[in-house]
Amino acid sequence: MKLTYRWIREWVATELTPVELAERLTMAGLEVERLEALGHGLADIRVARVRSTRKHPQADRLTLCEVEDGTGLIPVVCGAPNVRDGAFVALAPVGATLPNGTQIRKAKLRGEVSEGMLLSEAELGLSSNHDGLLLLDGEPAPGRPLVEALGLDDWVLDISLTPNRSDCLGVLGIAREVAALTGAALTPPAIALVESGVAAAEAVRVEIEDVAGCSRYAARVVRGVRVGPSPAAVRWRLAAVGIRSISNVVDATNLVLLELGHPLHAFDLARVEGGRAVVRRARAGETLLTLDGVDRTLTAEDLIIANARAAMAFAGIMGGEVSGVHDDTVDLLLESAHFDPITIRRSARRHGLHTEASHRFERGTDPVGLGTALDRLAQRIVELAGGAVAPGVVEAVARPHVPQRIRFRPERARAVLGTTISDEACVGALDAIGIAVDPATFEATVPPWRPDITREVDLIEEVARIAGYDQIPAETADGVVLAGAGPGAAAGAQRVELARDVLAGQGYREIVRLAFTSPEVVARFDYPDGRAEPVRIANPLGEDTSVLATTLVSGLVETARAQLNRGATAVRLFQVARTHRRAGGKWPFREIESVAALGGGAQGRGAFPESTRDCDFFDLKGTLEILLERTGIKGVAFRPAADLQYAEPGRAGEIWCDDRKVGELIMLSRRLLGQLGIGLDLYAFELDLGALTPAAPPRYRSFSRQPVALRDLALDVPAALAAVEIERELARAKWVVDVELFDVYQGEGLAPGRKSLAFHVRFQHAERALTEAEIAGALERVLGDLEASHDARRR
Amino acid sequence: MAGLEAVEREALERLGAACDATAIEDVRVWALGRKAGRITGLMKSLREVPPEDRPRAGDAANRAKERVEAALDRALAERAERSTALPPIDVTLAGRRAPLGSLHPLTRVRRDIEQIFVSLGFRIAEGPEIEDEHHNFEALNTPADHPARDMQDTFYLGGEFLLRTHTSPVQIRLMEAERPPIRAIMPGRVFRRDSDATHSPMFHQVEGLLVDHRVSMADLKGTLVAFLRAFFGADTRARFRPSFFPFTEPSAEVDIGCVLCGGAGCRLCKGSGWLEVLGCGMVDPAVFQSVGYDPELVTGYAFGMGVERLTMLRYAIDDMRLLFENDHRFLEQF
Repeated sequence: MKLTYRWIREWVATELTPVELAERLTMAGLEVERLEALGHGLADIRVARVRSTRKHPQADRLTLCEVEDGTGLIPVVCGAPNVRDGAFVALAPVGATLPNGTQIRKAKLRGEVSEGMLLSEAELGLSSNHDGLLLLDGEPAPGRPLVEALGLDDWVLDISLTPNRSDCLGVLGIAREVAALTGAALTPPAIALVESGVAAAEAVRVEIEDVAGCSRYAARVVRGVRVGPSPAAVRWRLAAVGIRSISNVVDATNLVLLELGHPLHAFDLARVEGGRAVVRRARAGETLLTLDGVDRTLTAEDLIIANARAAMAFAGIMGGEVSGVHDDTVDLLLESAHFDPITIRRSARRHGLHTEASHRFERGTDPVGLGTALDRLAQRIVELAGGAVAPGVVEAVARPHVPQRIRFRPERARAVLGTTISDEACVGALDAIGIAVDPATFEATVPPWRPDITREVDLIEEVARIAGYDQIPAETADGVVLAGAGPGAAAGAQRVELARDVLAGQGYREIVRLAFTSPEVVARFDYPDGRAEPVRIANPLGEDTSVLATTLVSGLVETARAQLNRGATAVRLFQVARTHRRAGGKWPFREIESVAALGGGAQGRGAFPESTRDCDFFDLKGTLEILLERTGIKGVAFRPAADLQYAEPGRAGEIWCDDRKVGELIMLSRRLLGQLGIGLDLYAFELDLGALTPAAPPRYRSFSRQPVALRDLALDVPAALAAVEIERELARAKWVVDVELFDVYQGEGLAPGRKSLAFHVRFQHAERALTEAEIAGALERVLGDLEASHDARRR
Repeated sequence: MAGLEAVEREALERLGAACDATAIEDVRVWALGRKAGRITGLMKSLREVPPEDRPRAGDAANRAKERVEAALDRALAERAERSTALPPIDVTLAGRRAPLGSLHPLTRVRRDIEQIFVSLGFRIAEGPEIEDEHHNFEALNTPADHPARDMQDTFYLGGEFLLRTHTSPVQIRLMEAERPPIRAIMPGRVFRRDSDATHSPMFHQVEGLLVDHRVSMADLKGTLVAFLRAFFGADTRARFRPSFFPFTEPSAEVDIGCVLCGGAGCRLCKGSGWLEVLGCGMVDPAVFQSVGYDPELVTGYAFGMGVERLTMLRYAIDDMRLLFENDHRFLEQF
């Protein structure tokens, strides 16, 4: 909400500067988000007086003027139709900059010299009116800065109000706060109405048919107004706070809304058919053309103001087009009412209408102060549009306001706040904001403009706020709570953090992607099986972010593509995050604690040949093995994966643990990557960390300190034989402690259909050194077995 | 004996200048040569020394000879070592490095936050990202028709389910499951239907909750000031401003002195000299009632912060979108 500094000072006698005022309000919970000098951008503009005009000899539309700028007469060429001798105007002299950034230079227009520019309201940024020059009222001195002449030397405070502070949605509320915070006196303008003519009650009756929706409805009649434009001062004040000037009558309702925070409405009395204003629910299907020009079909829950025949206004939200104030309106019915916040909020949301009025009614308005607002409105209308106020207020009260009474315990306030604030200081703080506290019983009576205060804790907050949060000491709990209670939910979290560390240590960079993706991506990359449904968002920001990602690999590929497009030559990425799927049961979702990594291209740098090797399947597998080992997960097996649409055939593995598939290790399909415009081979794994149970912490086993004997063994075996078969058999031989395959060879020197496997085999005895003969014997025996079982021969 | 010391000194000097085996051999011949060696010569002249001085002079000459011989041997050994040494390398060549990985800046900052609170005795609690209206709103004193609902635009999943808009539902789940005392922080991803230069539809929060007998707002201030000083530096200034959250009362927003200008006013703090970094307050009695705690018996405080905000301040990142773009030129800086 925007208000101006001068406006606030009309209501409270504060000596604070604009900056100080903003600071005090901010520190009291009324955050001033921005403080702007109003005449900003108009510093160069001066008052000038037109001294003579004559037609431009070469152009019909242009006028040659001589204007007095306080120092002398200067020639200005002007295109506005309303320029005339003697007018007081706004002049941008040569060298001036307009609010829109335009620089004024000495110019020749069709041969005539112009040493400045006369300005319209639009060019000054005061309104959208560019029909003609701004003509100043009175006789301001030429040469005077325009901002002074117009009273624009003001500041706009943009206050960000929290939803509980409906009382501060107007100048009065802010002034009350300033008075409470600084002790300055409130100086609200006096309201003095002169009533004349036929009593209002003769013209109209008001009825509340829907007691739940409206507790009080008050109306006045003003006869004989002349609808027209508002004076400049009113228009600029409204413009300063972001409200468009409509007409003097409508502007008056807005001025009072901004002053008192209470929404008001003016009907054309001639349109109040049957002389009745009835507050009732709409009939389902009833229609109303609202002021924004939309023909609305109402529901039986919408609250309206109706005349004897039809709906006139959308109660508390927006007036009707037909019943509203028009240029020919003469007599007015003014409304000031208290509507039920929830009713207004539901209707406003249902119809997508958020207005100044609904904003305030939703948050709760003052059911008592609405009378003052009504009187103030009548006064302002007469001031701005003339007319006479009919005697009397026509009013219906469905539920009289009952002041909220709350017991306040100063000791409770001290306990919650952790301060030593005295009883008197508590009572004084509450009293300053209009909350009367009985000194004997400590019963507090809440003023009607604070509907947010209903409980003792609300009073405690007010005490803290008015006393100042900086009065609360900063302490740390002294042994009140036992520190560091167990790992709890953190065990899972620790494993996830460890996974991050391992992958970063293995040379992968962590990425963070949004959790959203498109249905197409899910269809392309589903994991671990396409049967589980993704989680759809009912109100997504867009179709391409309408589901929650079911895999991380899809996102890693997307990031890899972006990085490669931006000039990266290799990628090594990982992400740790939850993926989501639909599930059965009462809580129909499953959250998977997923970890995924992706690699492609040569990552190394420098002049070493091995660093230019491209990342491959076994790089990713090695990373995965280290990840499993470091997170303490045992018993994981790899199995060839059946065809996966996103993996290269024959180059995909499934990761299994305890008879459950827990992930995949794949080379991404070249066809798919080609479609995505990626020319690099990519490899990836994704693992459901939550499904893996970490093994118990390692237990030390004693190891032999005896010498180890190394023997190299090259075997000539059938080409189709899996190396792991030989490896297993060698590992079972007597005294063998380690078998390591170090070479696989096929070709020259071997018969067709044969290959050579070379192993390092290490022998060790637990208690003593082995002799040459013992080792030779053991080797002999296992070679015999291998020849028999696998047709393996020593080379 | 006259000249012995001078000869020894000269021998060692010549040896110091000898740069190869031949030169060393020349020194040996000069000093110890059988015919013309200087020390050899001096030893021969021992015969001319009076008999009573002879043992002492002989002893001195022998020790000098031994010292020169040892020096010659050392020089030869060094020389031999040098001749079998490895060819020199260019030590300025770049090292052979395994690929460098890194943690995302959001992870680093979240861990820093967690570490500070864990050291203050808080434990880490987690909860689901998909929530129901009860845990995300109603139990947090935010009924459906309250304007406070507008503060958080929500992604709905159909029925009562939604993507959590804050990690506060974890507080509810924790209190539903346990009795006080509770002292925990809740890190996690949260979701709001809002997307522009300064709002991401997904971001990260760390919230905290402490519930016990006699917890006061002074404790809250003390804890958060301790956190802010640990995170931003010991001389960090903090101020608490009244604010509103449905689930706390009194509520406050916490500003720190601008990390860029130190309070003078700049673009980062929009001229105010202060940066908002935290929201907090005393747990609202209505929240305690919704989890079955008696607000007369226990009090508590809660706080929450955006990890993105703190990350941007820590690393001087001026555009939040960088945190989710995963551009390699960005990630490589961490």
